[in-house]
Parts: sequence; structure tokens; C-alpha cells
Amino acid sequence: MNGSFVVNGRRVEWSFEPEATLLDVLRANGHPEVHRGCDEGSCGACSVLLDGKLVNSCQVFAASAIDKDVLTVAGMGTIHEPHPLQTAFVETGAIQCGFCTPAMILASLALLRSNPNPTDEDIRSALDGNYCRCTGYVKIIEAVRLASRRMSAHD
Amino acid sequence: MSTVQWYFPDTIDEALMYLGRERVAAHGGGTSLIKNGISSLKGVVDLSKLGLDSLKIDKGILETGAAMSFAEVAESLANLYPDCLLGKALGAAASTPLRNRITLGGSAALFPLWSDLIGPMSVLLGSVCVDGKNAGTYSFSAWLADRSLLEGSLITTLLFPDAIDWLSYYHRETRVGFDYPAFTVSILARKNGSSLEKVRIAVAGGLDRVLRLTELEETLSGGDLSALEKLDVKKMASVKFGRKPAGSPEYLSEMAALQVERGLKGILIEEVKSR
Repeated sequence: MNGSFVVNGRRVEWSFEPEATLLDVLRANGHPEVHRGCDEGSCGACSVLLDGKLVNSCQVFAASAIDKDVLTVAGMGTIHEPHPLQTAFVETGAIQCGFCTPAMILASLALLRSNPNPTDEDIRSALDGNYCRCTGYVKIIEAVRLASRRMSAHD
Repeated sequence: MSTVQWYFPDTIDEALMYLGRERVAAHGGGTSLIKNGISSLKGVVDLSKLGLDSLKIDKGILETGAAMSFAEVAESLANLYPDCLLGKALGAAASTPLRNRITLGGSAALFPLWSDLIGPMSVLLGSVCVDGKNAGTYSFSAWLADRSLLEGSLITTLLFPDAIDWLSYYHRETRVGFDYPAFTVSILARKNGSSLEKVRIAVAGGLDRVLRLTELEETLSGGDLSALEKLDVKKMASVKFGRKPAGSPEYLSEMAALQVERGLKGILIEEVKSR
């Protein structure tokens, strides 16, 4: 089947199997930044924003995302102009192996869009679907706090 | 080559026409369909354009569209009625990205073992409104007892006739926060000064799937709060479990009874918040 999506602000038209997940389709069409982890909705490595909502792309049929907006971490910033969240993750050392990082940053973005000044509890709750097996989460929470302060200061 | 056909109807009648066909399933958020796979199906009916996504509360009656996600219901209720048991339970279910996909209708269709909907449905006396071949409004117990009601039909709404102004407690027994619960405890209570007007308690996840603790409810309802201190709540809250990754049947039974006691004392005496 064919379907049109808006991925990182750009309209695309892709062909895919009816049972394909959004993760399958994104990775098959040049979005390796969306990582395949557990493939069962537990680890969160494949998270994207679908119409602004954080979802596990491995748990979304591509057919159900037709005509919707998909944001991957590649749509947030560039290497020359990174998003404040991306900068904060680097500066605080919130990245070790980096496998969870794209999804972790998207989960943080979804949080800060709805709650610009989250408490640590809010941050922990918003990231509850994203595993990190390296950092112990301390630096990640610190990064979200830092980005929150910087983004609020710019408002 | 897959032969599964996706349908995107704009009306309930159109959706029902497709659902009346053989091996055609409804798609709300898709989390259960993905787990079970759709390659054996002939068709999938996406419900996102049917307008089943609103929440209404009037004179205490809560009406929730079947296509609403757990996150949408939890957020709406957290703003309007933060102590509403349904909002607490759905807001604690699964994880943030999954709550954005799991729908009320999908959960009511299947009541998966890990469902955080089943306990609140039981104590809030929820009912399931269905359109199609078996059109009607079914009590929670009638719905749960007859899975054939879903054939050729579509869940449109969940109704909760008396959803607010309760003291409420919800506990999900998990090893870590985002885990599926080994069991859940749902408690509602209304008190007037030192007397207890009404208490409802359900434990989900045991051998009975969801069990109302009617003996304990009847003992407490209409009595004085002080009776709670004298009762052996843990003995009256005995629930049987099978073996689960979270523990042995004996351990889970002991933990469930403990949580019932803790929940009752918490909301009626100490006014603690749910976990």
C-alpha cells in the first residue's frame, strides 16, 4: 500500500506492506536515527513524536500514521544548529553508548512542550518508557533540567 | 505478499459494514493488534475518524469515547477531577508512549491481563456501549462474561454512572514503575464524618481476573470508621493468585491483602495518596 506522511516537516510518499510498523517504514526510508530495540514497546528506543505525541514507532502500524506528522530526532536540530536539548545532553554527559539518546531527547521534548518547568518527578514520569542501560539516568535528568532552564530563559 | 486491507471509515455505519465481514478487526491504538499480528486477518478497520474521542461528565455521569487514549482520559480527568479513580489508574498504566496509544475501547474489548482498566471498571460500575449486531449497553460483569458480544459490533463509549466525589485509592503492584502490574487494587469510599457510607474494593490480576471483596465491603459500608481498626482486613481480603514472574501465589496473595489494608487505612484514616 502507499501512504503520505510529513516527516520532519517534509511531505513524503512511501510504499509499504499493510502490516508494516512505522519503525519499519522509517528505517526503510532513510531514518536510521529511529533505533530498533526490543520491538515490543518496552525499551522506547524507537520513540518518535506522532502528531506531537510520544509513541513507540514499533507499536504503531504505518497505515494508521498516514497523513500524520512524524518527528524524529533528525528533525530537531542540525550539527551546526543543535536544539537546546541536544546541546544539554552533550554538555551534561547524558550520553554514553548513545543508543537510547535519540528517543530520550524526543521524550524530553514532548515533556518540555507540555510542561516547560518540570520537577524531577515530572521528568522521571515522562521518561518512564525509555530505557537507558548506561547512564543510570542521573545525567539525563540533569540534561532535561538544564534544557528546561535555557528554553524558559529564551521564551 | 500480504492481503490485509486497511479501511478508514468516516461513519460508524460504514465501520460496522466492514466489521461484519469475516476476519476483520477494529484498530484503535493498535497495541494489541501488533502483539497478536494481523497477517491472518483479511481487513483492519481504523477507528480514528469516527469521532469517538470525547469525554463528557454531567451530573456525575462520566462518558468516555472508545477511541480516547489512556493518556487523553487521564489528562482530562487530572485537570477536572484529580481524585477520580479512572484518571489515576489510566495515568499510571504502562508507560508514557504506550498510554498515548492504548485506547479505552481496545482495552475494554480484550481486557488484557495487564489492563489497568479492569479494576476501575469493576468498582465504578462501568458499562460498555456497543453499536452493531449486538447493539446495547452492557454492565461490566455481563460484558466480561460474554466475549461473543463483540462479534460484528463496535464499542463506542464507556459509561461510568457515578464516577466522582469518591475517596479513591489505586495501587499497581510492579517491580519497577513501567512494568505490567502483577495485580491492582482499586478502592472507592464515601464517608460522612466518622461514618462510612459506602466502600467498594476490587483486586485484579488474581485467578478470578477481577474480584470484588464483597464481604469486606458489606462489613464496612454503613458502619463507623473505628470498625476499620478492629477488623482483620488482611484476612477478609484474601485473593487467590497463580504463579507470576513477580512472585509466588502465596506472596502475591499476602501483598494484595496488605495493599487493600493499606489503601483503606490510607484514604479513610491517614489520607495518603495512591502509588
